[in-house]
Amino acid sequence: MSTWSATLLSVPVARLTLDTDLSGDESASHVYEHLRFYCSLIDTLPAVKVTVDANGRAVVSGRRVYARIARDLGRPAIRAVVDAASEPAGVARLLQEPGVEQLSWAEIDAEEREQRVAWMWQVFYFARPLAGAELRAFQDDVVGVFAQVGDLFPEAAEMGTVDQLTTGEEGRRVSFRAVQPTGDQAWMRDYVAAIRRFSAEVVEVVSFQGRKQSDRS
Amino acid sequence: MARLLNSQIHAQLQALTEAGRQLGNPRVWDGPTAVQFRTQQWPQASRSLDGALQALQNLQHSSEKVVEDIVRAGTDGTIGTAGGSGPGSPQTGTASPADVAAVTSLSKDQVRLSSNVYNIAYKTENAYTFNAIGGYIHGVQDLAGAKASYHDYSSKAIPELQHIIDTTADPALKVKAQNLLSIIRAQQKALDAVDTNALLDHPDPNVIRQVSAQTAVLTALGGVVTTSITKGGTVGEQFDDKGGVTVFYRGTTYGSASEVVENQALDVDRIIANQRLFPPASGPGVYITSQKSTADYYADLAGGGGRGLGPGTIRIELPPDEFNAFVARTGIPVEAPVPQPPTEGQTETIIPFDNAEEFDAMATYFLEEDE
Repeated sequence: MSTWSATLLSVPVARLTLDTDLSGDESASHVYEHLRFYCSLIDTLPAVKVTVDANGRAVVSGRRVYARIARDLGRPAIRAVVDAASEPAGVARLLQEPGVEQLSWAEIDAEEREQRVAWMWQVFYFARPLAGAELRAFQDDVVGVFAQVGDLFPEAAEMGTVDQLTTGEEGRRVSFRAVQPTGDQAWMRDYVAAIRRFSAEVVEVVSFQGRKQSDRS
Repeated sequence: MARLLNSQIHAQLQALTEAGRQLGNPRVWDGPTAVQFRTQQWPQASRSLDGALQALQNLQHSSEKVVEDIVRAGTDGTIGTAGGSGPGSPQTGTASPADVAAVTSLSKDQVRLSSNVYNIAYKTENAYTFNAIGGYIHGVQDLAGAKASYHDYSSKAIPELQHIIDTTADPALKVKAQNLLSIIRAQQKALDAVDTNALLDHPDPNVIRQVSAQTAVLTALGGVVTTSITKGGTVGEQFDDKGGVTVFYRGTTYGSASEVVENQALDVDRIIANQRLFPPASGPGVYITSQKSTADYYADLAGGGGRGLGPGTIRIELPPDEFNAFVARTGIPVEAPVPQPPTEGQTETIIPFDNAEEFDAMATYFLEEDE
């Protein structure tokens, strides 16, 4: 059972105050363009953190990169965790605004926990375009890890395994959708191992899910 | 000086001894943390406190001798005596800075020898932490007192942390300050939600004692953490005389990570549920790693597609000595090589579920915020 007491909202992106001095290029752990592409594929963006003042103004105070991406992608709304330093009266005022909706973390969490597997996007950027043989090796060694998911989770076998595998950026980017276990870290280890091995032995992975590979060394 | 020696310090040390004895009683406070306190921390602290009291008595004898000498020498007595000018009596002067320094130095040196909360509080040399210890001494059976003590602490700590957040140019320090601010506010909220009347009507008085004792300890420790952050250091450095801190990471979702940070406890139920059908190759338990890069991978996978509000990585800081004693006692292998490692040298540490509560008691959990 979830025990997090924070207030969770869905807030129109236009209503967020974002520090415009923050450049996407300044992101230390992500390649902004890569993260933006990954986020463009998913329906629900990661939540931002907001601090709400007495006037109901929601200032993005954490995970700003997702707010910037939401704005760049033209997303209408984004989930926002209200920082405990916020003014309660301001939060109440914000909740009265059109399009602002209070969400229940407990309900979201319970619903997600029911899903042991889910279709999830996987996005890789490489240091150089993959040659034909390298792409095949990637499919066998990295994408192939998902073939075992159906053996572990019966419902995965009914859903499928992998689809929509495409390349982009002149072969530097590979993305695909896969049925992925959501909470099984034992499985994740095999996948992470395959990614790291491919990066070390075949072609360097610059980023995975937008996060810099250099940040993973 | 003599008045100081005879009143505050002596009384405080005695009160601390009494408080420790009370908390060492399982009928007052029980649970894994209490067992650790009762069997390991308090015996050592108690011996040190006895030593401090003895040293204090020695100094009292010395100071009385000094006063006698001064009187015999015919001065007008600028130092108050034990039996002389008490409260309300006209004083001809105050203790000199040197005398106060001697007393202060002595008490710090002696108390520094004692372990646990009192020791830590002195290390920080922080006034409101020391006041919080007052709550620890006097508030064990007084929930309202514990609440007031926490309010007092948080009212001072919150502006201090907010100032750091607003002014620091160090992003790591800012994140730590933000994390702690969130923790304090959440704890304050949780404490405010405790209905004193309902508790007082509770048929078992031990419930009240347990709540207030834990709150008071939390307050004292919170003061230490705040001070550490204020000084720009790490929590571990405050706990570890040798310096340094033991750090682990755990990758999960932002929602789950936030729960852990708010509760300052691992989400064991969630992990058990995840591992129920397919136990990990290295056995059940909470998987942590010293390699942030590995934890980030798990976070990106667990929080993929915005699940759980997106990826979240927990930073776990531990006092090295305590952690080393913990693993020595439990036999937990630390950073064992991962079977079939993705990259050479990858390691992991598995905290068995049965030891998670004890691990929580010494760990401080932080959220590694994405920018």
